[in-house]
Amino acid sequence: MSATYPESLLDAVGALRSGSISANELALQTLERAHRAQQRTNCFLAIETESLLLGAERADLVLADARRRGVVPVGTLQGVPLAHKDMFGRGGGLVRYGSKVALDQSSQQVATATSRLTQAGALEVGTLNMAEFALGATGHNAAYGDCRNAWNPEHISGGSSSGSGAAVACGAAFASLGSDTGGSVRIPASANGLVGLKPTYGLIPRTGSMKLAPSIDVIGPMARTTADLAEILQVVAGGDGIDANASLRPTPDYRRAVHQGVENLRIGVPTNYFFDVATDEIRAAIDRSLQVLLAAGAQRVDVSVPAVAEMSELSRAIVYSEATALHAPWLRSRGDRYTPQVRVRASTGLAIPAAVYLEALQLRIPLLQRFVAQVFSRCDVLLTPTLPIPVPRRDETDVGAGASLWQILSRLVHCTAPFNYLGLPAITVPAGLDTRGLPMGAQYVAKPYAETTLLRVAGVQQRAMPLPPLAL
Amino acid sequence: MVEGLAALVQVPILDTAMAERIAGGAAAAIAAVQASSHQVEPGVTFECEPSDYLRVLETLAGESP
Repeated sequence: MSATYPESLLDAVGALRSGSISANELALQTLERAHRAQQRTNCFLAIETESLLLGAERADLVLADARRRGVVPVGTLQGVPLAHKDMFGRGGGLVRYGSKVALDQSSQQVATATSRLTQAGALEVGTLNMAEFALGATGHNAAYGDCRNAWNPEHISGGSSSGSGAAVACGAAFASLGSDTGGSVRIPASANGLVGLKPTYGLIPRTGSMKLAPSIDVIGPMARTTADLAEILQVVAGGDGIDANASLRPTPDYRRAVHQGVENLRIGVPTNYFFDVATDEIRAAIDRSLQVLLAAGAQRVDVSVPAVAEMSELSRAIVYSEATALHAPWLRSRGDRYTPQVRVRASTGLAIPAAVYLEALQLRIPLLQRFVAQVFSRCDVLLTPTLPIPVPRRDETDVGAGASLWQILSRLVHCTAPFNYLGLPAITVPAGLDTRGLPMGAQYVAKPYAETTLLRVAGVQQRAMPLPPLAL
Repeated sequence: MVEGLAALVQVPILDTAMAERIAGGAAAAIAAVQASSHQVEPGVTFECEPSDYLRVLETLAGESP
């Protein structure tokens, strides 16, 4: 009889260490789930059976040796199968970036974030689907096929880390790294019922990962539980001395924060912008989230949020300018290999004058200083919806969907993109299922490098509002 | 304007429709920058260079993690 499949990453760590499941058995069960997940959602660009099983064989030797000697095995994630957005260099071989533009080029870069996970003993199931070059928030991909929602494939997975959301929700990986430039971790995490973190700019080194807009880009984890996410964050956070924009601040104990509670924490509820386009069902879900925190000893504070309406667009001025500059060589030499939508998005910086781009960068520091002074003097975390609208259907958000398309697309990033501009940390936590059985998410935002505060809040909420298991 | 700039950096624009979509995508971002620049006092705006951003984030975080 085969061992029961662990429900979470930490359960998997425990089962592997105790020997109640072998790394090989866990890898085989994960592969079986990965193939089912692929059929349902198209979340993988490649499933790497051979390398996963080889890695599992090695992990079993390490785990058996540790058990024999009565010690904790080397590597906190020894034998745990993960999978990541296909944008991290692995020291050779193909990285697709969700695109067919550069299939003839291998990447020699090594991504610090994923190599830290490998050093901790984690294995990789394969590489995950994503919006082409991370330029899209829905999970549509005309090059490799759309990635679909794990709970209902008629609906979007969200993007750009679309495969990460769908694969982790399906149990085809215990956690995943994605990137977030406008909501690309938080949107698919929310849409698929996961915890997803956009860390403070500079917390996780981006060395060896795909760039979209280096002034804004961050790498972020998603997982099924807050404790799982903290485990991943503990491994990947902290400067590497290579990425000049990665902070060398010491990293705190993220694992412990998950269990610290929220007594006397001030929860800021915005009085403007964030609920303007929210549906009644989403508002009710966020209110239920708030009630959970209040019952656990937190305090409510109503907060007016300054200049937030413009921040998404300020962010776009930077993202489009930098993306076009990065893509210019390929747009010149192989522009016809881009899918038409993404070719336009990658070229949008052509219409943004350099002075406008630089002004958007110049404005960021004073706007950040004002935001922190006005908001975080009154509260410790800000509570908003992650998606202010229900998870849309795929056909509602595809090319040719009509006049409502742009309204839906702008609403997808309505609550997430402002914090990319400011560089603040933000976490999405499951906030129940809507009447169609699709997940909703609450977003919490804190001051720079206050990820521990976000994990405290997320831990309390998730323990009180668990989602039912996803039937795959 | 889009076609002119595209020609300058030799990034091909396929047709007028593509140029219009590019300009449309940029328009709101340009307008937001103009609107936001009025919200910040000129003296404050240029106290820091954009390259100081990481240091400012660390300062705003406070002393210990």
